[in-house]
Amino acid sequence: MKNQNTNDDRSITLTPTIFHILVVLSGGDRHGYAILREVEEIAEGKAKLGPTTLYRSIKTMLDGKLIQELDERPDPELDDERRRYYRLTDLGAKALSDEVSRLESLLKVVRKNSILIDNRRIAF
Amino acid sequence: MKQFHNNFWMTFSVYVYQRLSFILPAEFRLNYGRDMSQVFRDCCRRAYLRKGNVGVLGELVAGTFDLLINAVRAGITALIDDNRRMLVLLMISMVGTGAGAYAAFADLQGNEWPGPIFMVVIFTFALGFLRPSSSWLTGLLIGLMFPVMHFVARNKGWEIAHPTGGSSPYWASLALIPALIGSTFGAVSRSVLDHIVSRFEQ
Repeated sequence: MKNQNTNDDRSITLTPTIFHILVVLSGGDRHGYAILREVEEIAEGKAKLGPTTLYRSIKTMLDGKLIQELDERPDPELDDERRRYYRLTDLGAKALSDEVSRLESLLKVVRKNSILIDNRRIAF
Repeated sequence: MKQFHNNFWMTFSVYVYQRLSFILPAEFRLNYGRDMSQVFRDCCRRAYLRKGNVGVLGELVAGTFDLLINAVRAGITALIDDNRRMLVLLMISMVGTGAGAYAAFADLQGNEWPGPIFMVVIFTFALGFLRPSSSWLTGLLIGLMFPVMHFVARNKGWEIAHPTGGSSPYWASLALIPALIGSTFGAVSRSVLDHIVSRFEQ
């Protein structure tokens, strides 16, 4: 799935990791470790995100303007002020919305048709 | 609650992870190295609280694997980005040369000149439209294949069914005219189409 970035002619491939990060950031601003933990939570332990994959995805998303890094730092008493926080941009929200719509329409088709699993027809 | 501030395996794991991160591209490491180490340390703490030292070592193995995979991916991406332009140019050149050779061969075999010239115009227009920035190159390559093929045919003594009864690389050079016209029209058409599409999108 390609997200067309109208700003600079580059397109971002919405990988499962990037999609999960967008989902997490749709709930509010997060720092890296919070994103990592929440991605694991919403994937129900089926996906484990490593720090390198996380920050490579973050870099890709920053380059594609899907997210932005916040200038303000958290209160030192509440959190580590060295942590960098990230926020979903309008473009990121649109990419997320488009992908969710695409998945919803796919799901509708699957539910309507029922599918074959191990040669047995399964209805949803 | 388990104490992890002075835990050897935790310190060791973070140290190894930081050292290993030097295999990542320098720019990326400078921008995100500290954050990655911090997140890795947090992951180690959580793993220690759940499974003790075994959890920390498991985190080190997983973190190292993640780092290696991404270093390879980053290396491949950088390699492709560096060579992409060159590869595209090479492919365009090969396609242009092949198309030119085909049209020139048809010219050598046929008695009618409009057919090969029509082919030249179609090929150059299509390649110019696909990649306007290289249209001059494809035009030149396709056009030049005519004198080249005629030159080869004459020197190799190929049987030629040409209207002139022989092969003349000099006359064949005239194929450059429709070739350059076709490629220019291809590039201009693409530019016009892009302009119309962008206006429509606005």
